[in-house]
Amino acid sequence: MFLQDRGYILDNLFSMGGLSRLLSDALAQSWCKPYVAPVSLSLVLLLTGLFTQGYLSRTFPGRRVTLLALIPVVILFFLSYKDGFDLPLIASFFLVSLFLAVFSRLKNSGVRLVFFIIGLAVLIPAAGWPSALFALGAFFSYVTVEGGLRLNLRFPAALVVILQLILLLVPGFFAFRASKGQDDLFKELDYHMHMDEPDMILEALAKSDTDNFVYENFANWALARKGLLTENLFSYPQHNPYSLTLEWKEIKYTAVLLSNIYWSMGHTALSQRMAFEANVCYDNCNPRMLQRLVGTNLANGNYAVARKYIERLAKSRPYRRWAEGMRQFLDNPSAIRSDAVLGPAVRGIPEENALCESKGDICWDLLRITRSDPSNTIARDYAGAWMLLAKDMDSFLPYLEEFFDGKKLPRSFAEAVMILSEGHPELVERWGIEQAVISRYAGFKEFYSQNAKSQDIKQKMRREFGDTYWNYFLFNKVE
Amino acid sequence: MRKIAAIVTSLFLVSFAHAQTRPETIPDIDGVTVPVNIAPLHFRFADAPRKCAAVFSAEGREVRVKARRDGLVAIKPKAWRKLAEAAAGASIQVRLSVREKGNWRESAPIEIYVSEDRIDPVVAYRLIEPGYEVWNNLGIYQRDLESFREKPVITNDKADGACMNCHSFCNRDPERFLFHMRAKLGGTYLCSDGNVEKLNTKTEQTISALVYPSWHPSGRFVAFSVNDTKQSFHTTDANRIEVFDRASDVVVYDVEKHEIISCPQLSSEKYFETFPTFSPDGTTLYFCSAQSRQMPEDYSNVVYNLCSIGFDPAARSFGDKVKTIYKGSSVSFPRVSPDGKYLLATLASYGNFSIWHKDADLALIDLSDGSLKPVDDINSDDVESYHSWSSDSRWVVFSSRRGDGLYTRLYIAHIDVDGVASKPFLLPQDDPAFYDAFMKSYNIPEFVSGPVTVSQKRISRCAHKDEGIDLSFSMLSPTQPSK
Repeated sequence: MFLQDRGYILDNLFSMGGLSRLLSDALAQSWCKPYVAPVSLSLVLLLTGLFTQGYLSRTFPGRRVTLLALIPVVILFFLSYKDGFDLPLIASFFLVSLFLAVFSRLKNSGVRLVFFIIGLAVLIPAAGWPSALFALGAFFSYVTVEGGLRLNLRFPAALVVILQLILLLVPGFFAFRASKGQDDLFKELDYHMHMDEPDMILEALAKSDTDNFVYENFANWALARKGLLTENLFSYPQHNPYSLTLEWKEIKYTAVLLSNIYWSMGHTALSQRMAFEANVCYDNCNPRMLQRLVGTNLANGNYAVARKYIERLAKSRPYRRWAEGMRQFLDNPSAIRSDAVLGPAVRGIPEENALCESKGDICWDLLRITRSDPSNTIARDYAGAWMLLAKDMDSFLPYLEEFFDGKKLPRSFAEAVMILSEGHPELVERWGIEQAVISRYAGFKEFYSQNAKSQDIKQKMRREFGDTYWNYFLFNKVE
Repeated sequence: MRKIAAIVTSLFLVSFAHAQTRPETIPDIDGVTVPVNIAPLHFRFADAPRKCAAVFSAEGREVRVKARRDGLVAIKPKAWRKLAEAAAGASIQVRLSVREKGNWRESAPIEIYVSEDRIDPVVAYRLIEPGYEVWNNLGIYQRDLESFREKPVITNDKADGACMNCHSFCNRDPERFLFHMRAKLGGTYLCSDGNVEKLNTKTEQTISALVYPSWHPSGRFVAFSVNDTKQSFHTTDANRIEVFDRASDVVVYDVEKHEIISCPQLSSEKYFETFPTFSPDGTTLYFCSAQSRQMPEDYSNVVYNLCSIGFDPAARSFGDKVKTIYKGSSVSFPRVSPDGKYLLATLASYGNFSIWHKDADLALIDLSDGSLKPVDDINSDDVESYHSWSSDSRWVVFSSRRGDGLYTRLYIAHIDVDGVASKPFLLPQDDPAFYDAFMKSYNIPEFVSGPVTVSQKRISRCAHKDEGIDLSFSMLSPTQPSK
């Protein structure tokens, strides 16, 4: 996040690699607009390539070394896709190539010397270690131009091209390999979650092998947003309750994911907690988490803290308008309560305090949120889903009595009632279970008894009944 | 724009012309007491017109400082020093001066009291987000109180991103201090006269590695707590977080023998013992103790008393009786003044991690009779927590969240020989608006008598290269001198 703030700019300028960091922050910030990222990054890399090409052509005149100018471009292009890539490195190479291009244009040796000294003095703090390339490049330029060193070796043109291609393709290949992601799907899902596009999440997951907690969390969030969590819970892979909210493990990406999930649930306290942790990981410059913290602090009535985050976002051009718009909520609890986004966050805060997850998991928190705000069906559904995934059938029936009395049960709940009806057949009628469910359950038991001795019973059951709670209940271990 | 400025100026002048009101400043400096050698107090006038000035006067001297375009009144250090020295024992008056129809009109003065008592020149603290579990960039820093200069003692980019905490100086000596590193390169690092020693402080007999430290005045021992600490979050409480111990004990580390000693009165399962601190003469060990409870269920019922036990440094033994000095609110961070007269502690309705308790306040105990002396001027509606004494017992620096309720800032207050506290002032900055944007909290403020000189490189080298010294443990019976 690039802040238009004197303190932020000066702090960075006076630290090692600071100018590169500022440039990359400004660059990255523009990416919040669709399609700007590929255009702006391509432009920076193109300019880097052009500057490098200009330097090479003047340092090695007549040597046809143009392809070498693509080396930094290709490497940086692929590496920019790599998770955790140090974006300021692109800015550093851009600065170094710019300085080299200017240096190579200078004719007067005195001017070149002065420029070299100033350039190095600027680049070392501004760009960090890549400034060594400026020194190296200037050295080559000196020996070939002023030193009179001529490379008189004659190679066939084709060989020169092949050599350059090798020099280009070998590091390019490794950079390409390093860029390939395990996390491309994650980035896509994260984007859709941010844009509140649950359908797009489900569509993306349908095309992928999604057998891990992270993707299960995304799928369940999308289902919950569409009001389909309890209807279609087992149409998607589920491992255990962590398929709803995975264990954090101090990873910044999961902190963002969890903050979003908790916010959807109306669990303001845990959403705030995760947003804060994520923001710390991003050095207090994650605008989405700062926005979340504005929301949670407003919901909790912590106006001074909310104001601090609003001020921070207001210094960033893409978020300024949003930040200014949030000022209306400062010291204005009635506006907060009636806001479409903040209102549910306030309503879900239970009147009576308790420690979060004090019963060992989030389920009890969700029940308290639902009781505080009966209109919050997402929290209600997550609670029920949690019980099913935890196989907590003792809690499930009272939960149904409290929240679903007189209502048609969603599919996964109806399936759970069938399990509970073993020994309590009156439950089937009590909850109005449909004949289709009753018949399918009978079919499930029949299929199981016919195939119980089969070695691949699990696979067979999954093929036939993988989308049912019964299959989960039978085969999934919950620790 | 000019019309608006004129209207604002007129309204302002009308208001103070009628009532001769004293202007408000940000931060509040009206009525604070400062040491003669403190850095200049820079501030802004609240609700003042852009074109204004501050007139500083003391003992016949006057300095006029025009507010900058952003409203900052920044008196030059030299001018401030001269004024402060002239006003030592008296006060500096500050008037708001506003131009109206070609003339300057002045408000009633606000007073900055200047104590003749000098303050230790350095305060050390940790800068870290006021959070929860993860950390990013953090470090222990030292701030020159006579200027605005801040330098790192050690930052975690030199230590593979480790967490650092609990820095503690022996008698405020910059050449003798320790701190902990957690996670990577974990250990306790004891810095003494330029040497750095890494200690592996977890033993089989102790609950954890060593935690809250307090040096014995001789420098031979350091009292520590060992704690099994957990953290949870409130759904509704303004306190946000609850940090509690599931178990804790007090131990003493022998620096020369690399040995931890304790006794049953400090390591009982029936009690949570924590926050040890030595008396200035080193013969008494104060600590906090609460009846142990089921946690986290009973977290709000844990109340720590202030206790003490004798300590014989020559014999390396503890007294046989634990005395209860104070019982009432829950006590944390007891600290005895260097002159031995008072003990400053943090009181809250329950618990011990007081930085997360909005009702936490500082309290002064007169050690001659155990009575509580009111220090209401120091406290606010929000948290006051960690604190430390200056070497002459006249100043305390403490953590407070009175600004916004979350980001801890440092305040300094004068306490006179009779235990009367004066209004504290916020740690000065070149531009105090810095605090509005600053996203870190100031933790564990400790006065230091001079700059810390051990280099980061030295500490980093020790952290990366040294295996660390393993400590042994001895449990002593009462009055049993250890070998």
